[in-house]
Amino acid sequence: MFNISNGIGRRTVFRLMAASALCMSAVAGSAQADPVELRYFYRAPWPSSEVYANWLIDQWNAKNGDRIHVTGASVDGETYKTKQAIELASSSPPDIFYSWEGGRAAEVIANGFAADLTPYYEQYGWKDALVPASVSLATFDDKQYFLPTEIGASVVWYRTDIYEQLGLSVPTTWDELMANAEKIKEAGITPFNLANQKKWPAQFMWSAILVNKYGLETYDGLVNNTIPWTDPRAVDVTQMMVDLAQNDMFEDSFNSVDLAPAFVPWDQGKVAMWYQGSFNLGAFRGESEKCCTAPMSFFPMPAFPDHDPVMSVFAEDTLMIHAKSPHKDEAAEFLDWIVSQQAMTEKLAIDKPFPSRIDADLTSLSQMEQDLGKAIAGAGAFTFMHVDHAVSPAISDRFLDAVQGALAGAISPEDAMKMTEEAAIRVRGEVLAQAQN
Amino acid sequence: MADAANPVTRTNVSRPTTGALKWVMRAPGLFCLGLFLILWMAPILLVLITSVKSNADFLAGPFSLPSALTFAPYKTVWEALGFSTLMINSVIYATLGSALAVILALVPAYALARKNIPGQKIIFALLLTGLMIPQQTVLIPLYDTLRQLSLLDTKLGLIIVHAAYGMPSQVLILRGFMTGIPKELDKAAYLEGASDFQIFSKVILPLALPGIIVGYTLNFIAIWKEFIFGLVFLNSESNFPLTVGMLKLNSDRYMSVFNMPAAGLVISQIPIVIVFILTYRKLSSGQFAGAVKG
Amino acid sequence: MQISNMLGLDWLRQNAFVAVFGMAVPTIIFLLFVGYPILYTVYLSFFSWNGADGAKTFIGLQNYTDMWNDSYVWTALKNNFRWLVVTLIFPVVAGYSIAYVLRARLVPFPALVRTVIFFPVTMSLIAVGLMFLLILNPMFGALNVALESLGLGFLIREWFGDHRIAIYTLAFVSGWAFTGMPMIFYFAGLGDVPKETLDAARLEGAGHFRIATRIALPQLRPVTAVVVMLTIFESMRAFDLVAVMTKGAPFGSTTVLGYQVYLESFWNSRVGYGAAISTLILVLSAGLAALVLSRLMKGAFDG
Repeated sequence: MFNISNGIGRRTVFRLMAASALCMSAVAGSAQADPVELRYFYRAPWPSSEVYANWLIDQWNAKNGDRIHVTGASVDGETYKTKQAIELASSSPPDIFYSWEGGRAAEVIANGFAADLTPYYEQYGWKDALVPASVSLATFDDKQYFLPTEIGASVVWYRTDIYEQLGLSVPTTWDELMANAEKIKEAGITPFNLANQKKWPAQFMWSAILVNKYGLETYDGLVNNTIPWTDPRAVDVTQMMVDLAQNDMFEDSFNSVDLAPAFVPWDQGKVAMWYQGSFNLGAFRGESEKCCTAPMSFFPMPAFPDHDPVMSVFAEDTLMIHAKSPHKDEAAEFLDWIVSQQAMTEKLAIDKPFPSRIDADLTSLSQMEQDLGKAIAGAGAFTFMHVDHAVSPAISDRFLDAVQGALAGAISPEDAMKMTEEAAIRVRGEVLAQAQN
Repeated sequence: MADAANPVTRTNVSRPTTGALKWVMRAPGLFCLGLFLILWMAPILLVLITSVKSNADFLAGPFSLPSALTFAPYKTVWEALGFSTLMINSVIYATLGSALAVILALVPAYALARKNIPGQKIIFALLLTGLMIPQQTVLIPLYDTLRQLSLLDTKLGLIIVHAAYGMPSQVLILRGFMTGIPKELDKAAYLEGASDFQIFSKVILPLALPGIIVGYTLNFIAIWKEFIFGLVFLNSESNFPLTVGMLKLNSDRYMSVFNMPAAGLVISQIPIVIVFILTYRKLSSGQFAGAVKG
Repeated sequence: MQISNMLGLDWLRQNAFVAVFGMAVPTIIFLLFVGYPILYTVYLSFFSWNGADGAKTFIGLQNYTDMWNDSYVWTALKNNFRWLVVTLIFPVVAGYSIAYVLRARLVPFPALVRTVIFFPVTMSLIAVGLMFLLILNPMFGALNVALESLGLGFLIREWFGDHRIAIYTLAFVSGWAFTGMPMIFYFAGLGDVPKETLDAARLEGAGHFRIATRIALPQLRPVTAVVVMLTIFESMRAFDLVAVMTKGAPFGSTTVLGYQVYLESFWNSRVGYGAAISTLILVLSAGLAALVLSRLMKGAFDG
């Protein structure tokens, strides 16, 4: 290419060219022709998610690879949020992809990316095979758009040893819970973990308090845009969270502690309670055979006067088939493998509870997990999901920021809800009249 | 820092000193040395130490020494993240992307250094635009361009994008070097009837080789560090560069005890350390000057 | 005068090599991958588009008025300038000071120092961010433990959890990783300052501080211009550290313009709005670069 008199230079350039040629041929690659190629794009928030997904794909390809070959790709949970939008709109979208439930799912459906899975629900009998609450979540306008593969619930996890040691009993009312928390604090133990660095954890407690104190209909009104976020009830719940924070009910620097490191003080017995989702059970299990590393159990968020307690039941992992996929039938076949009894049982061993299949064998789990699993399966219909699942990200992001700011004392609860409402007004395009109390 | 050391060195120069006194006088210099090393080396050393600690050792505190070296975090992370693929990909993007950028930049640099081409100022303005443009601002249109060229989610597509964005700085660096080559050399060649191409290839190129190496290495490092293009333009894990694949280290479970992310960090630095060792003499010496003075 | 000459054809014929490989090819690539994307971004900023379907609605300046009323954009804008100020002070001043003490041989093992400080320049900001997440962590981080044991426990802060200081933490981390760059530039530049100038100053009794600031620095104006410009570009495109360390948290206080673009375009599906913020970044960077060029670097790039 270049006639360079300098010997070293020539050698360098030659090597460069050789390397380029080598790599270019590697880039060009070769495509396989015969089997149908499916691309499966998922989020992997835990290492076990990836190990399990790889197991699913390898098993499938070993059996059916000559007919339908699946290739997986994953990014971590936080990156998936933005990557999903890019992937779905691309010219070569994935055939199967992870989707969030609720508001996010509705957005994906509205954009025309989700294939209608109703025929496959019929064909493979998923309606009867899956936990009713999860089917109700997948249903939009009487059609099913996603397949729930993991369901979960949010509860108050508590250290049984600390409860025993301090002579506490499981609370059935909010006031009892607060009395317990006071005693725990006096004993020099942190009452609650919050671990709010990534700003989504605090909303778990927020929405649970709101639902339990003011009823499901109030919460539905907020997330469905019929009650403004500036409603005094929403402000009150934010104020309650702020009071808890100011009363040292949460760990130190809760706004800079990430979820994962928070398991360490939990395992060390420095924290007594944690309102979080059941998707953490894999982390609670840690390296142990069975859950959990620490002696622990759970109770639902206790009731407020005049209200029955409501437990949040939600779909943690859900899969969609892309509307533009040319191989929807094959993709559905692969989905059916994911919710098969064999795959769901293996999920418990490799990954974490809870399977969305009603007849999944939970006996390998600890008694506590089995109890929770039964409670979830018994929930006839879905109850509520947390704010970031329930509403579109434009609103929930502001909400999460605002709550984080309120907890840090940067803004008042009123302003926090005003901030959320401003985003909601922009999204829904109108101002709502203040609802009656 | 400079003025703190000042009186000492001056005395040092003007007056002979005894051994003990010499050390006292060196103290500010040693202090600076210690400060620099602590500030810039300690974080890296801490990560190295953390990466070979067991979970129990880790919980004993950040400065505790490991009771025994464990390489289990390395094994776990290497397998879970597929580091071998990520590394090969990053090496491909960096080697080929910067090679292409340099090749594209050579003749323009030559033209700007030697020829009176029309619209010099405009070209410089464009080059600076290319230098300054933040990647996030062009993601959507670039995504569109790549889609139309069927280059989305391909290694080639990312290589071309890296090359296009590396080119402006390469032109400026190479031009700096070429300006430094005495004009008499190509004038003589011109008088002997050599063509532009001959002057370029036989006179300028060999003499600009140090500049090419410096420019190439800088671009290599830049592509190695690049993150958002890879994140947006690639979908297949088999195409991800290290920076994108590494994000998983920040996901929930790895971060509970830090030996795993630390191990991942150490692994991710290995290839660039090798490049660094090979080229840093050129980078950290006066070779830069040519590029800088312009 | 011939017509061909008037059209510049003669010039082209004589300089075909330069015209094709020196101008045409790079120009095409530049236009395709740099020029067109910039123009298209500006174009998009006048539309409302969710990025998913083809329906782009022309809305005039709506995105820009929205931007004016968006507190996040204002926070981001302020943060970009905070970032710029921190990186103009910390890495540039530190880089110059280190380069000077190295050139003046005031510190033992200069080669080691240069290596150690330049090394972070080769690290991706993703890696740097992860590293400092570990070191600044409130529970197991090394920094707080170190401060405590030095009796400086009162300095301990929530480095990336306190909305008042988190953005400065990020800027300092970026400065840490960037210091090697100005150091190397100044180190090279100082090597070209005539030794006689410095020796003469020394003989007249000038201290190192005086030499560094009054005598050497004015001679290094072109280097300073390049360093300042690089710093401006770095801080205007700040993104990676925010993405890996805080994602804008806490309380949206660490967002920067680049991160808002990414969020609005790819998370909130407001591509047109994202493009409007992009345009703002472009205008800011270009304006600042022009300012630096006209003030510090008269004629340096005129060929």
